[in-house]
Amino acid sequence: MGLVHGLSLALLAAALALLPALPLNDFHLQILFTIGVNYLAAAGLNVLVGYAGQKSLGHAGLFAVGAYTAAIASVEWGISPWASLLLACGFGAVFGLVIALPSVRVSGPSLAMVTIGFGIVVEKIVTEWTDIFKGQAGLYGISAPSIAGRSFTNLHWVWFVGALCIVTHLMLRSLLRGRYGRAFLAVQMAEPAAQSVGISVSRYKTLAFVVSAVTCALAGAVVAQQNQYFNSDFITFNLSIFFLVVVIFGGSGSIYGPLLGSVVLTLLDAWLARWPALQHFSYGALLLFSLYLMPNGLAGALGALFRGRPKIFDRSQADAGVSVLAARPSAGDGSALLVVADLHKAYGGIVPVNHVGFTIGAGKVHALIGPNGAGKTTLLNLLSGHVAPDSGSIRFQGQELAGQPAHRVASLGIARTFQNLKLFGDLSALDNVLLGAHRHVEASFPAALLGLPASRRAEAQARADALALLADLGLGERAFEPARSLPYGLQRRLEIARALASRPKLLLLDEPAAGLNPQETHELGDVIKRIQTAGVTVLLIEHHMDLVMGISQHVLVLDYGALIAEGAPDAIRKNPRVIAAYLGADEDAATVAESVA
Amino acid sequence: MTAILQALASGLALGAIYGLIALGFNITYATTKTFNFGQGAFLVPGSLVGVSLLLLAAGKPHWGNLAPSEMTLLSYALATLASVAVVGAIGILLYYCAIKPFVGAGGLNWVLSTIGFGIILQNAALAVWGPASIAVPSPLGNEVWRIAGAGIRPQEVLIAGVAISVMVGLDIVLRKTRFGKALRAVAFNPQAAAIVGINVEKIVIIAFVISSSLAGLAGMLIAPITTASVFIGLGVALKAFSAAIVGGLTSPRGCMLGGFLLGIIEALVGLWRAEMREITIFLLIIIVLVLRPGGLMGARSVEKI
Amino acid sequence: MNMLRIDDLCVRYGAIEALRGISLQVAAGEIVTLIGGNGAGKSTLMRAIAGLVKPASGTITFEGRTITGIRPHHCVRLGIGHSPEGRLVFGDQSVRDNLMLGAYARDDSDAIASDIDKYFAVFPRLAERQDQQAGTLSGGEQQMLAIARALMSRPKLLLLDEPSLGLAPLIVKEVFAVIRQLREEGVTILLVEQMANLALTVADRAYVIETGRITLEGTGAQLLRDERVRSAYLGA
Repeated sequence: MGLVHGLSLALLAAALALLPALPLNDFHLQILFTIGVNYLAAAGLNVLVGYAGQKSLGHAGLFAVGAYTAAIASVEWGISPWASLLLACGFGAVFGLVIALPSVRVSGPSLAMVTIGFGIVVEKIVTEWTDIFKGQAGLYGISAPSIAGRSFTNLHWVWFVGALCIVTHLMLRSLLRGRYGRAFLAVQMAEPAAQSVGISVSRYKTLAFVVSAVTCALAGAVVAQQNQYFNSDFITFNLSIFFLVVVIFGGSGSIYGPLLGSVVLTLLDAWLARWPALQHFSYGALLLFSLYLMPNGLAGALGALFRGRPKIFDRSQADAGVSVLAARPSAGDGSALLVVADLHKAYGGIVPVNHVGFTIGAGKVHALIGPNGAGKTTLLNLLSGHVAPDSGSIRFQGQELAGQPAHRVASLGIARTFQNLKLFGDLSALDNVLLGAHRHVEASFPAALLGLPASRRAEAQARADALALLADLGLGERAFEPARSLPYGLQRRLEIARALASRPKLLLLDEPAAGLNPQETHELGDVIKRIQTAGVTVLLIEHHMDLVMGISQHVLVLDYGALIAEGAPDAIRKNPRVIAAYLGADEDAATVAESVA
Repeated sequence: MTAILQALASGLALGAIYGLIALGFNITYATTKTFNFGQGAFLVPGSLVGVSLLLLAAGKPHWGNLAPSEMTLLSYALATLASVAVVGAIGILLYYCAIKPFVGAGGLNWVLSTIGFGIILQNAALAVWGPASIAVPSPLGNEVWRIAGAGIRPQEVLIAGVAISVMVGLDIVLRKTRFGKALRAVAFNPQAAAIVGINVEKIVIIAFVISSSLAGLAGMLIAPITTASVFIGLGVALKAFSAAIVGGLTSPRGCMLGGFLLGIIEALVGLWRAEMREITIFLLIIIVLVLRPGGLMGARSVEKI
Repeated sequence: MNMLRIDDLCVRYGAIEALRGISLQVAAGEIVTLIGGNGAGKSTLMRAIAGLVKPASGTITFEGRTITGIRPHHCVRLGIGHSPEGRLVFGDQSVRDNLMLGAYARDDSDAIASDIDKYFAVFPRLAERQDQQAGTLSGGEQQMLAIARALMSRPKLLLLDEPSLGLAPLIVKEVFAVIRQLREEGVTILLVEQMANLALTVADRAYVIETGRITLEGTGAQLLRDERVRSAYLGA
């Protein structure tokens, strides 16, 4: 892959270098320039739309920020073109933050509304505030970059934009192939699961907005400089839609999608320009039907045609790493790891957790059981921070957790799985585990963007550790398969692997045996015992009583939101209150029989 | 003072238009969690089909300007009904082309597919009617009425009257009739609706027909004010969308309220500085959404873990 | 002649095999109960009969007619009423409107009105609250409403899924009293219930489901004293 990629880039550079030898007129060069600009805008937007999953319908506004920064810096402030370009990126970042602030708080149609609103506000400001932005009349005489006093010809512009595209591509590629790219995808696929491995959802969404804003602003600035003129007619709602179409038609979430999208759509646009009616029809048809035929865009459709050899797992890849399960710490001493006191949560009149208190001792396997609807999952959600309690306290190693967001709870050392699996389905088993280890991959944003050695080393080490853990759990052979293609039982196990990769002190398992066959359930019991041996305390919600009674040292029973019993498994099994809660008390059944007979 | 009265009147009329379209967004969103992002394009045939029918009835070609003498209240009403029927039928096409393939699949592909459908519809209209706008007289005449010193255009009264009647009517239909209850049942929970014997897809298709018809009606009502053209739809539909989001996409009354609120704010801001209308409105919307992500009257949805 | 007959039914959710070859019969006038622990596949079976999930293989025959994979609103018209797990009453509509919607598949408005009165007599608490929004009812009242709503379609077969779920013991008694009453009236019922002892006291016959398969069947009285039922819940 690395070789092919390097060769392709070299080919692209060679093609650019050979441009003067080709019989190209200014029209052709302008098309090449436009492809480059569209790529710049779309490449960043792809990070936001394709990776972080935030559909923006207002990126024309950010394009405007870049264009007008470059224009005004040059015309009004007399700043050099090179500095103007940097300034445009800086302003782009600032406005990316501004639009991210409201956007991360909403989703779905409301997010579309916020981004549309932003785009329109910018459009109206540059149209109406003519003192500064000159409206439709526009800003003239924007100076363009020059090298050694020679101003750019059209050919130079193509080279310049080509260089910008290659640099952008390399940086984004480096960024997206490591922990940042995985975290963006995690945020898109399953927010609660992303939080459960310590990823702050709003932080990563904001980051994606800023990245997309910078490249979009850069694209705008380059257009303004090349034109040496810019007016408000450039900035329309349709431009926002166009950028989004480039990303989605090209293939959102694929690093090559924006490239394919900008090449095909720019060429199509130029070719159809002779028949304006047809041009618009074709846009409509593309939007309507391409998603139907190619749900993953051009890149997805082509990727399916040219699927490379699948990666093969071999044992040596895992040998360089250390499995989390291989740790042999001193056995847990049973001291209080987690102390819950008077915890309460109500939804209207329903009280799934009613003033519950208990203590989880370190090093043990604890089970939480109770009939359906007893409030077990809600209790677990309170412990993991996915739901905030109404009152009460959760102290973990002396720290208060009640009211803390889920990603903070996770980063303190509490990991969890979900009753209805929340794997990152399109990602490989390996990437799922790497996401579990997210907090332990030491790579700063600039290091990841520039692909510095420190960041590569951290990534390689994390990869080896993740493979070792997968191999340890019998998932090694499946490491490179998408999580959703694994058999159900292995998906359950992969979710446990992901949680373990975050190196938790306490692991919360929500019905890990649900849907497993007896053999798989038995194996699950062994896995849980190994987790305990590795020094991780376990709290398990489970209906499978053979499993619960076989592996846990301490059982908590919840009924109607209240703790009705706790103790050793054998005692619980004989407890009449527990039996009544499960089967309906015998005398109850008898009364019913009498009352209606 | 009279200026404010005048602004309130046109705000009310404009708001009624936004409210009508927003109500259409609510009806399809409630039943399918989707709505037509290309609704602006549905206003176009809404106005142009009706106007062309009136022109043809007057013995003219299907485009050109319409003289006040060539229209009566009755012929305007009949043309409106025809327009509404045509646009409603396009709604069925919209459902099968742009909604059904994507609904329930997750993601926002339906946003793009409905925008695409709208672009095609708009360009089909461009091919039939060309880019020029057609001046449409109001069936109540273009003479300004003086009410308490304020000059009020008769079409504004007609818009407010018709739109408010339709909204009240739909509100009653949704609350009282068997169909309305079935539609609300589908909105509440499609599976629960199916197990009592409701044909969920049929209800959903009707929802899209209603939503499209409302956009068609809005197009015909607003034509005497904005003129009829291929390009009138986008701005109006975007504001109707804002109205729905601000009022609460999940609440029919919220959508209507949002419409009036937006129309009135727009008119009042217009009194102060016309160029600040859009800026003020969209900034306000962003602020409202930050404070109340579900809109003013909408329910906030919670993901189940 | 069996009213309902299921042969070798399999249902999958993606990679999960929820039902792995279920066969059972329900005769007219019987109460048959499906018991078993959580996640055993009981509700999935009910949903498959009601047309809410499409089976991967196997057949469902109702009154001699194959209904495998037909859409849910057709099932209602054929005479299958469903009171689903979690009740799913229309929370934003009144109790009376919920009952009206239960009769959506019928068009005999006079008889509908008299049926509503009939079920108000059976469930007096629903009559008291007929104009209240269903979402404001207590859990037990919502359960009554869900049962009454299903009965409003005048079903030949009533699918009753987890009627005791989340209800206090006293309310559970009331719900089961109603089930007995329905049996007196000759309604055929397929009952899914977690509270096995309770279900077995009202049922003519019962099937125990574990991980998508039927592991035990017999009359209610037989299974009531069978140790294996308890172990299906609390472990051996």
